[in-house]
Amino acid sequence: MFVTLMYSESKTNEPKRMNQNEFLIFIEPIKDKMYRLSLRLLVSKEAAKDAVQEVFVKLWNKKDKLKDYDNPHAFAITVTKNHCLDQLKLKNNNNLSIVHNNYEDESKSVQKHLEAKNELELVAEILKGLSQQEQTLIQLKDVEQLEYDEIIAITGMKPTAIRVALSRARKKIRKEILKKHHYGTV
Amino acid sequence: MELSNINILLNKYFEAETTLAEEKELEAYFLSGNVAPELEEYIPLFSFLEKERTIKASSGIEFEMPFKKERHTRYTSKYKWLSVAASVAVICSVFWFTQQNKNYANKTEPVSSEIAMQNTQDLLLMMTEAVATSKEQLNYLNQLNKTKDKLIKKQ
Repeated sequence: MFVTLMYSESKTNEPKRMNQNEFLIFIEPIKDKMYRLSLRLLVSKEAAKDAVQEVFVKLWNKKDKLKDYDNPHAFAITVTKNHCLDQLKLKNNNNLSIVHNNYEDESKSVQKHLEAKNELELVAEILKGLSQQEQTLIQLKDVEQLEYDEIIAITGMKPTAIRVALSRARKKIRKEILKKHHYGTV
Repeated sequence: MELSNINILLNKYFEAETTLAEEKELEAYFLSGNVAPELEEYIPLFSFLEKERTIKASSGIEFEMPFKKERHTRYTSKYKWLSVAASVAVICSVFWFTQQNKNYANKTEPVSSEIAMQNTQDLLLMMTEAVATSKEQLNYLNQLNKTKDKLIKKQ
């Protein structure tokens, strides 16, 4: 009785501020989604972990404003997405030509080893070939199974633009799968 | 589910016109292990998507919260207060215990002051008697001295 009284009192005094515990509770349901999206875009586990770590810091710094957002969880995913895209941009700016050369070599060796890999890894390889936007959309829609309004909130894209890009991404995947499939059977 | 139905859903899926429920239906079909041979090539796609969904950051990765240090000091101060409370409790319990013992000792001899007075007076009287009798005994020592003096005087 006394405890609940104290609790409600402190609640009414500071309705907007988020404490550490509330922050942990806020993060809990989305931290895996944040990690998976980072992993999709950045590929390496280390980079994904660092990205999520840095996004946590960013969110904590904004903790007092978090509750003002219509959908704070979507906002957290948006921050994650933008952070990962920034990381990729930095990487590309630093060594664009080298990356390009490496990419050629890598794709050839990937082509060679594709047969040896199992079918799931093949799908992963296909996804890597999609644009960042397409990867993000596949990740949010097909992996996380989010509703369209959530994806709108996260990406800031218009519904029709989302559908067009998503359809394009799915068809690319289909094309690659069928190509590999026929190649395997013939 | 009927194959024609699945084909329709699949086409809708690639046009991005499926609802979330329909996509879940598709996934359930392709993961059921009972897929029509002409659609088998799509199994890896849906099992891949399902597998990716189960990746957990929580297992194996320890994220450092930005407020870890703050939290640490908070906990130590909590422990500090806990130790203070514990020592106060120990002191109180010792005090209470001794107090309780005192009370217990007092309660075993519920003496009225009159009897106490009588007893001490008796005791003192006994003591004076004892002292008196012992003093009488000492008179024999004087006798010893007298005989000694006699002997010395004779020599």
